Amino acid sequence: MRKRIADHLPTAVLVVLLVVVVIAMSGLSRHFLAVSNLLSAIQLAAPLGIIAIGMTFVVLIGGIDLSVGSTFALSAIAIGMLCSAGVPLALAAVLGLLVGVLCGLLNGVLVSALGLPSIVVTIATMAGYRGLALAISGGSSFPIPADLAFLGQGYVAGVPMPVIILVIVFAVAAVMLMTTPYGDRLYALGANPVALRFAAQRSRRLTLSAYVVAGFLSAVAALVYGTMVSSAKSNFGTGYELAAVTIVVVGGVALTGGRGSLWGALLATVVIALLQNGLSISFVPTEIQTMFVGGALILTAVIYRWLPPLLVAGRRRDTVVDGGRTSSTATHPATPTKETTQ
Amino acid sequence: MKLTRYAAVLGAGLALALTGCTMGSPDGATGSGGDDDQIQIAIIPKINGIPYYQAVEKGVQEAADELGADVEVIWNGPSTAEASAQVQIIQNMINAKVDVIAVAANDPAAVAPALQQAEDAGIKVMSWDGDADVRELFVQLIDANEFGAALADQMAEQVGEDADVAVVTSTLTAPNQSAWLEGIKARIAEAHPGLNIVTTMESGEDQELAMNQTKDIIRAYPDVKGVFAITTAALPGAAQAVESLGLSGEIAVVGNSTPNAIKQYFDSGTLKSAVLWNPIDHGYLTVYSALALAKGEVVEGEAYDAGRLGSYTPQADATSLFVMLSAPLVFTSDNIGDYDF
Repeated sequence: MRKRIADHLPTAVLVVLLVVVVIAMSGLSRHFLAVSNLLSAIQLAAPLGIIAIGMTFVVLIGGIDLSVGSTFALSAIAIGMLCSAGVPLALAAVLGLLVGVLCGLLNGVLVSALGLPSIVVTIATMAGYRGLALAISGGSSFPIPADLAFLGQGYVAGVPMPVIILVIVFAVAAVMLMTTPYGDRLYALGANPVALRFAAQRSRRLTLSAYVVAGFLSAVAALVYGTMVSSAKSNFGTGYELAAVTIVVVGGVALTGGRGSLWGALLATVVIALLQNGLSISFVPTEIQTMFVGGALILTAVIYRWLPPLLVAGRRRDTVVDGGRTSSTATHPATPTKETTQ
Repeated sequence: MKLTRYAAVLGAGLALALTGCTMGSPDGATGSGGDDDQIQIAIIPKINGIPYYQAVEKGVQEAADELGADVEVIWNGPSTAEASAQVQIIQNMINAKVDVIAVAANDPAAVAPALQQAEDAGIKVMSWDGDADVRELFVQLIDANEFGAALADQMAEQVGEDADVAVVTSTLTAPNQSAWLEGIKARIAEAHPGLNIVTTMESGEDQELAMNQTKDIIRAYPDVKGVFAITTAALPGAAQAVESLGLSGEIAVVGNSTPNAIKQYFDSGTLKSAVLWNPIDHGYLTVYSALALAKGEVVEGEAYDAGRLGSYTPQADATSLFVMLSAPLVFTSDNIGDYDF
């Protein structure tokens, strides 16, 4: 069966965008193309990139998780406070990851067992988790000991650890999504929730798992970030939820679920990281950088929305005798494409 | 000048984005910092786009204009007062190989690793406003004791030497406010023993909360004659509370805030005086201090030039060296109209 254009479009668009960004930014600053700069740009974006990978799982099943930034903060605070309380570092790190899993679990239970809309649940837990982080920390910052610093500040063969962790997380997540039956079912659930509703128990478990992955990866990001800045504070990750959604959407993952690839999310992380880095080292103020990111979001959204119908329409004009398969979808770009893609 | 550059950047970006064309100038002819003789100073506020830092930026711009083409001053802060955004900017300034990074730290611990990396890369690091753990020089705003003393004196002047007073602060752990409160208490013990602080309430940096806390204080302690409101949000909030209870002139409010936020309460007579440092001078001094640091002129006990502010002499502190901006700037109804920030 022929894969639809829409499935490969984001990757192609993002590669073009990446080339454009790299050329433009190296024109703006002579420091841009230095390997150390590029690695540092991706290092800084790694925590957000890891969160965006988790967000991809949730968006693929047609949900959204707006609590990832707060989960990130709560996990970071947990790690910082446990370290300060004298808990062995490795145990503190593991417990911090567990906090993320629990946050995701609660989201998942509220969404799947109680059947609440994910946006409502996670807006609530976004406030709740951050409130909890603020309450238990009292607003002060907790040091994260230097013995853990290699996770955030270390290098292996010249590559920053956060970049390595991002790549590992991506590889594991990609294998899960692309090669396992679990991945197939996630896509299927997002593409056609009604069909899977007949297998209610399975669909609930799947939903739960996606939120747990998002919570867990938010905690992984917190561990990376906390060790990068050697401290934890309850306001960490403010606004990360929308930044993660931005990455996922720029990455071409459909908010309606069922469509999109992890490659898109990774490429979008890199494109946005390099865009912000290039502007920043050219001394462009943060506000203007933010406008560029917004512009990238709109630009890609327009391309993803309108290019496939245009291409399909173009092809249809060439081969009119294609049979009566879908003469309607070709002329109505507004029809959301909701069929499964396997 | 700045605006045109942003416009150019925007235009170039848009053109590229729209046409996807390739622009082959990798050596950065139009780029920044092509000139190695030029000293580049990155000044990073806690947050961009709030009136207080806009005032600081004015002073920064003034100094930059005076110093001309030998010095490029980069002003860029995060859009949220959050450590990660500031870390990102610091990291990018390291990559851009600036000569000096001057940071007003949101979270001293969180920016420390990035600042250490900057020092390792041979960049001079200094702090201003919010101190950092890693730095060669700290351009301090104000002496906390002096500041607290000025507030206590103003309070005594308005409520007399024998009265109950209350405090509305940001949080009990905020370093600046804690130090000022100590200064207030020290001055009361020393010169105004009849002033009695009955309660201290937290209001974050939230004007509305400060207003409600002040109302609660006035209701709970009917004998309170004065309120110290010691954040830039608390002062207008407390003044608002006193006014809405119709107690203007009966309950004194003193504290610190930016003039535009409190002008109306001077007009209505609720406020008689307020204290602030001069943020414009602070920005100005930060630039000259950064330049001195870049030139290796920051040495303990040796004065360096600070333009129209004269000269400053660094002194040693627990971390490294510091200079103190100035004596407190006192606003009254006579002079508040002269300031616009």
